[in-house]
Amino acid sequence: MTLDIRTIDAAWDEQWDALAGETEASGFMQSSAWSAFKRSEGYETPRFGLFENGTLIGGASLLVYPHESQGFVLCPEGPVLPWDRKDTAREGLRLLISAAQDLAGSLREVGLRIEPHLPPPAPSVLRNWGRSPVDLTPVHTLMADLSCSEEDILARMRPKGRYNLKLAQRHGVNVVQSDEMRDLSRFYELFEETAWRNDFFAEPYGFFLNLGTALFPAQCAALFLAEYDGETIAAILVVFFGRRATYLYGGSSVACRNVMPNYALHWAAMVEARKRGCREYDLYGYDPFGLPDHLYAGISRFKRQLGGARRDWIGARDLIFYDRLAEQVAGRLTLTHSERRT
Amino acid sequence: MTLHIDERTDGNFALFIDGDLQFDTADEALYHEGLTLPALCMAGSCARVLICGGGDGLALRECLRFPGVERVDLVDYSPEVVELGRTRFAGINRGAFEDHRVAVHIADAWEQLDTLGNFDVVLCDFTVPRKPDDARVFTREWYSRISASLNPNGIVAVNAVSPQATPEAFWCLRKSIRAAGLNALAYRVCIPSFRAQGYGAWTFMLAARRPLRLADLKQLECPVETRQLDLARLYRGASFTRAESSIERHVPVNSLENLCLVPLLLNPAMDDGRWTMGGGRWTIDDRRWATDYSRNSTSGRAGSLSSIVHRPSSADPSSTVFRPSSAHPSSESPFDLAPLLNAIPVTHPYHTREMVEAMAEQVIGAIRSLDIKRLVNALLRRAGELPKDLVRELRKLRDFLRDHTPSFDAWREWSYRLFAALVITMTLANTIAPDNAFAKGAHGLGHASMSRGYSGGFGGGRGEGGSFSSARSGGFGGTSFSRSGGFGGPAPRITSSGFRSRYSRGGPVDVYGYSYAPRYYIYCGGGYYHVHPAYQVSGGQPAARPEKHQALFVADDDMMVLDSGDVVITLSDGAYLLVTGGTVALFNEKNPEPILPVYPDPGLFRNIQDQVQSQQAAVQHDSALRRDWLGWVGWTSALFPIVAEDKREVRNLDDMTRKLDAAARRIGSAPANAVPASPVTAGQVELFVGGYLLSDDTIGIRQPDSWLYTDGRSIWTDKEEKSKSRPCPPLLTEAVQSILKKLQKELTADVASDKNDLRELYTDNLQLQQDLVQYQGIYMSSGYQSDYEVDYGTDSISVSQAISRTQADIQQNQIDYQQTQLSHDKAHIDLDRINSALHGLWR
Repeated sequence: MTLDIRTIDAAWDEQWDALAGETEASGFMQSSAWSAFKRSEGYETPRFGLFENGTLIGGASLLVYPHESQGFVLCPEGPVLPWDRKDTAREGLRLLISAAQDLAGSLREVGLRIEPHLPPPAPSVLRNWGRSPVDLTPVHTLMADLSCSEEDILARMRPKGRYNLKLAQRHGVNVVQSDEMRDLSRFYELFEETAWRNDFFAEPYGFFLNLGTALFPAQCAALFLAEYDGETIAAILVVFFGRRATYLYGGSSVACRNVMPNYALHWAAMVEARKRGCREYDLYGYDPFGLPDHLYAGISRFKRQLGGARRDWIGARDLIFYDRLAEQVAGRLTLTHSERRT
Repeated sequence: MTLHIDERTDGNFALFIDGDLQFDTADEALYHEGLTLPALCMAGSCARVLICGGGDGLALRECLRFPGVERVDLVDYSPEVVELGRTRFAGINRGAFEDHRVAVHIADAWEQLDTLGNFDVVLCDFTVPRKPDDARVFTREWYSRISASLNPNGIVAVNAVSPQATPEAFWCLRKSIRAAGLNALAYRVCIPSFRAQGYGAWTFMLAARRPLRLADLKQLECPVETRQLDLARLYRGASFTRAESSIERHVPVNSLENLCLVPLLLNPAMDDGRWTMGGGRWTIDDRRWATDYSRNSTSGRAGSLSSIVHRPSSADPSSTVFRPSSAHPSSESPFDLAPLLNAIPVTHPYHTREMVEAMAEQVIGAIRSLDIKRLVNALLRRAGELPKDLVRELRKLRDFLRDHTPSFDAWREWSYRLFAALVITMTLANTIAPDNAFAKGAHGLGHASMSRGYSGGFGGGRGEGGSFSSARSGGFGGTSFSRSGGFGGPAPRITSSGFRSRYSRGGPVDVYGYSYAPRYYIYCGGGYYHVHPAYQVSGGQPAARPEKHQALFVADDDMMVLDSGDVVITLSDGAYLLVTGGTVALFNEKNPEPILPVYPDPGLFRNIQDQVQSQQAAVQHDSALRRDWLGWVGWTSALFPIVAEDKREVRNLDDMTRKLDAAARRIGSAPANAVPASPVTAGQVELFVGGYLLSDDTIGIRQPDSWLYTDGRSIWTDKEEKSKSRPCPPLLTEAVQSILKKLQKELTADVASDKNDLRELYTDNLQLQQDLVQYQGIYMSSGYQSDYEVDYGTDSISVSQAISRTQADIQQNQIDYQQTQLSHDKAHIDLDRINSALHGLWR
């Protein structure tokens, strides 16, 4: 086995997306389109390919945010590795660490943070990696299987979910699919209203402008807007990448809740995801325990009606570059000390 | 760079660059006339004009229609924006790029400036910087170069920032212009579309080598008509109070060495001297911090950080061994981390203070899993850069760590200075990436409620091994206002993230201005300082008619201040405590009459008063900002609905202030001789402050002068025999049942979450044990070579190290397991007790 790692440029986009999109432990945050979005958000997005005897078998699309203070080299939903081949995964990860350390050496980042979608317990290969203080993606989620027929998908929903979907259809809720930038403001109004109502931090409008600019033309994301009585009453934003479609954002108005627009939206998104060849639909986060303070306390009950199966991930892991960290801490201690003396 | 044109159905459109509004055709003339015309009017000549930025061509349009302009050089680094200026915006810039007087340079203005010659007027139409590097063209050095390229009577106009939303950044910019040897005159312009984006009042800055006076603005004579700007009133926006202008004395100059403008834009409330610039970075001023620390420390020790770091060993003052003093805090008396959390700056426009503080709390938990020995060794490799006393301390710590594994709380206590530097470094490292604020993990970060008051102390939490699988792990949250122990630290201050407020939305708001669905309570009030004469348990008749009161302010999901000034503490969907006039009463939501009086616990009153005071401060701050804004744009309220809305908002804020003042008085305080409740004993479950499920499933409620007991059918007090009991009012039975059911639900979730953690810890342990067996096997098969190299994760280390690390991991895993088991068992016991009560007496 000969493994090597090297930077892969835009010419590799198609091959990389095909590989990352089909890797279960990966996701859309490893896609070329997501990197383009992150570049518009000010990130640098170096990408490394891992080659085995000259064939691309893995790698990592990384994010680095340039700043005068230093952060982590990030690898959300990655790296892409053959995790089931332990020795290859270990060697691949070592090569990636080395590449990231070279990056960190020039950028002075304090560590590498990865977030592969692996079920617990964390594999031994991550023994020396610490648990991160923050996970970019949910640790517990519900995944609806789309590899079966539409009838089977419906059959796997809870009875209440099927009933509410039919209710929405009976009420004549119209779902419009769009990847037009002009529809973002309709989505955002509902998203912002929902964030206020349900008490979570809402990304600013500019974030969605950047997201739409990068993902819509690449056919990687779409808006689904529920219309009723001439009004847009609910909307979701779904990302499509390889084997998986992901419900990333959503919002709804308090008005007309009784016509159950969200069921119609997710059904339309699942149908569309199947058309695009996705085999699973990630409902993106839920609370399996019923904790009143959980981030997904409000929405978990709704998501459960849609029939997904629980999936748990090990969460984000950090490898600290201690010399880099010491450099940062020493700088801070020295400055504090000199301030104290002046 | 992302460009987006937001088209609207009324034909107007707006340009966003990287998500920031650049102009809206509905009011762009206010901006472009405001930026260009005063400068053109005041310049001795305007033959040669330079526009830096402004690729949309709108400032160019204003210049070209001004008489006397012979040539305009426009330098913009974005070919995309200039292309839009030539095409999509040609209709609104009146084909400005086709004018023969215009020379366009697609280049970085910083690089190009010196090649362009001298000018009569320079317009700096740059976007507000988002990254430090963007702030180069707002530095003293930049303005010095501009000054050098000005003709003798030349003038510069600068697109500035908001003096209200970001006052320190505004005065820093003015100071930077003045540091370049230019005189500066700032004036505010009301731009409704900017206002709607939360950018606050907008400002332009004129600069020239000659003196600039307010009178110059008063006497503006403009040879061209304006479309939207009222030049005659422009001077009204140029006056600043002494308090406002005094900020300039305290802020640094934005220079190439510090590029401090972006940090100041992002940290508008950090004006208290806690942070200082040094060596191109922000650093904490620990003199100030030490004062805060000693004042706020829950452990009650006075002294500076240095005294904490340098405190000699209590066991042996001459010892070089670094060991804890006997007074080191246990997990029951954690540090007050508020000063530390307050001191960490915001680093990205997407972030708010609350997000950073929420992140810092998560980081403190994660620091447990850092290898402190490796960090200390890495620091000591840099000993030459460090002050000698710090090196001595680090060496002591290294020596100690060689033989001991101190508890997290212990090392934090012993080397608080290192701990603090580490927290700041790691929090910054985690917040650099803007996405982290919106993380979708299950930690609870990303949830606005995390931002509403932190625990004030790190009480628990575990490191590696499933410690983050539940939203309540880590020792934050999980407690509620209604039960004692909830709500530890002070509520953080409100910070302006723009200029929006939600007080006018009808629902109650919290200390951050977040609004909630309207909530109403109906109860029999008894007037000011009333004492309910007719508790249901006493069988009396209500003395007052029921009144409906609306919730005004939410301190926590459990506590609300009503418009009457009374406070409600929600116990369940059906029951609440009403706090007023130094009294506490239990209510069933179905009935306006109080069920019974509850003992006025002093801790409860203290917490409520703290929350009310925090909200008073937040409202006063918001009101002052808004009054200032209206002071000079109030007259435009007939023109712009948004300004009229502000006037209504000020009235709302005034009303809120009065009500909060009334509430602070009305709530009162516990009697001076009131004593806090004793801790619960075995077999008891605390249902709320003063209410307990007892071991025989009866409920005990601590009343002002006695204990009342009930089994759901009868009530009796500790002063009378159970045999002389009276019938229990059905509303009390219902209220208790609803509280028990709510707790049952919460504890069921806690138990499920703990079970999940235990399961994960168990599987982790199995894997660790397997690894240990493997390492021991390798050790034996290698002929007991302790330095035989093996894989440890992605590290390669000696087999003896791998064995000892795995053993340490197993030990930590077992500690985590035991702690989780304790938490699980406690919740389980409480849940069993509640289940038993709900299946028995309280069915």
